[in-house]
Amino acid sequence: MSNHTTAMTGKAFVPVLSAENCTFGVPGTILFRDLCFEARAGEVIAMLGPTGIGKTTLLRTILLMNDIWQGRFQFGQDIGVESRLDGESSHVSVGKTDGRRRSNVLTEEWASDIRRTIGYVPQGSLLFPFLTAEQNVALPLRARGVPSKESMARTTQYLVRLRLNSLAERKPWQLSGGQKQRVAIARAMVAEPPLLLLDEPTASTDPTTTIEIGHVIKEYVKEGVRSAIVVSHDIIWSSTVADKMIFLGGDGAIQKFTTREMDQVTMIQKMKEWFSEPNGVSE
Amino acid sequence: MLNYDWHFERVIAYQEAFVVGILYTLALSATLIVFSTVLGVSVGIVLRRNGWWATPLIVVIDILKGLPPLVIILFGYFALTADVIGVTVGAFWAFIFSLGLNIAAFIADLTRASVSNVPREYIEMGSAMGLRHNQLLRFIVFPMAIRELIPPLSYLYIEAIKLTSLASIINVRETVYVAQTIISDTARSLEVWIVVGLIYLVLVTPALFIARVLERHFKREVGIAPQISRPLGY
Repeated sequence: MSNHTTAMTGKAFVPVLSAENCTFGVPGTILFRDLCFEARAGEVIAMLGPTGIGKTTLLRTILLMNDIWQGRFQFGQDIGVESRLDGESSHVSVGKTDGRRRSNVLTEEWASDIRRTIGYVPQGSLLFPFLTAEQNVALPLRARGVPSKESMARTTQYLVRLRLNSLAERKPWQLSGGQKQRVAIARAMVAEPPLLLLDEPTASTDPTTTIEIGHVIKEYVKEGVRSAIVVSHDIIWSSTVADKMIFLGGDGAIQKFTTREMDQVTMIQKMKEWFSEPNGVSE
Repeated sequence: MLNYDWHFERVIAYQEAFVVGILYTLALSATLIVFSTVLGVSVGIVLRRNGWWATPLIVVIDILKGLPPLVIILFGYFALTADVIGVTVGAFWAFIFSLGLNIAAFIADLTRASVSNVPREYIEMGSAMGLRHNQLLRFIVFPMAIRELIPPLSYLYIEAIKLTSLASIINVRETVYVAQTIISDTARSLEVWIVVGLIYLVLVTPALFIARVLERHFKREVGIAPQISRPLGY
């Protein structure tokens, strides 16, 4: 458990997600070993790294779509998922932090409960092609059983926020890449989950939309006990949006920077230096 | 052909008989489509679960798909009698049950394929959004599967309308049966078969047009190329 939870005096110190010594990867390959990081309320964290390093795997593991082999993810102060290596197999346990509800198996119900605290924007936006933009945005609310009146109001609120109100009735094939991306972001935000995971959210957006998306993400995390983890290749954009940047290197080596601590030129220089060394340099 | 003396007026005199035949064709088509759809879709959904029943069901489906429709109809007509099952089923319902099984086999296969063709990434996206199993089926799998299923299904329905002509073999008074009766009265085969052909074109062309529109619409919505159903034996 993070030591910040005990020293919580303000929103900024409330961890929304803590990764504690997490080891995971894809079958046969460890991508991250003993990974530790924390996403605190009000913070945007940018994850950067070369292609194929495992950024998407990291997001999928947080979403419990991939297995954690060892370590612990703490979601808010409420739910923890822990995995212990026992010989060659790992044992997962999940439970409320106060011990009221525990399970030695990560059931679909548990996974679903945890995923409902996360808003996810996948690579390529993945909108459901048979639904309009508005219906796509409203889907997380329908799944949560939000009454239709409230659902409509919330959906409209996020469509307006992402400048999508005039496109509400369009099907995904009638939208441009950037518009689809904005719909996917609205869909991730509409249920107002504490944690946002965004995989290359500006991959197909024009410069103006890229800046707007950055503003929307920053505003969103400031509005409650919320945090966002953004995977991006765009270091300049990431440095303007993120409070913290985590550079991911080979074999799970990571380096963390706080954007307040340095200007962009220094940051780019540091990143270049770091990536030029084999496997990067551990913090 | 040029020496043939056409006498359509003798055939048109039987218009009331043709109307009865058309009504029977429509009744057979509608009943056949409803029966085979309910049965086929249900079996297709059951097959999705891959239980112990999947293998025997697939064997039965393959047998039904492999048999010529006429053989199934004749078998059904002679099997569904008092001597065999203790009660005689009328020719109309014997036709529906037997050919319905044949068409349902194709529909079951299409349903199973449509459900399993739903792209995995959409199901994963639904899971990532916290949708539970039933919600995944309700909000994602079934809507996408239905959109993929409808275009080939509409072509199958057109085949079903045309196949109702086989009911004449077991004395159901549909269009072809009526046509044969008129021919025996008038000996005007070519005129009668031209009229029958036109009747089927009028019945099938709008359905074909609707099928094409649906195919274009759903192809765009789901992004999956629709499969054109294979003809049912001939």
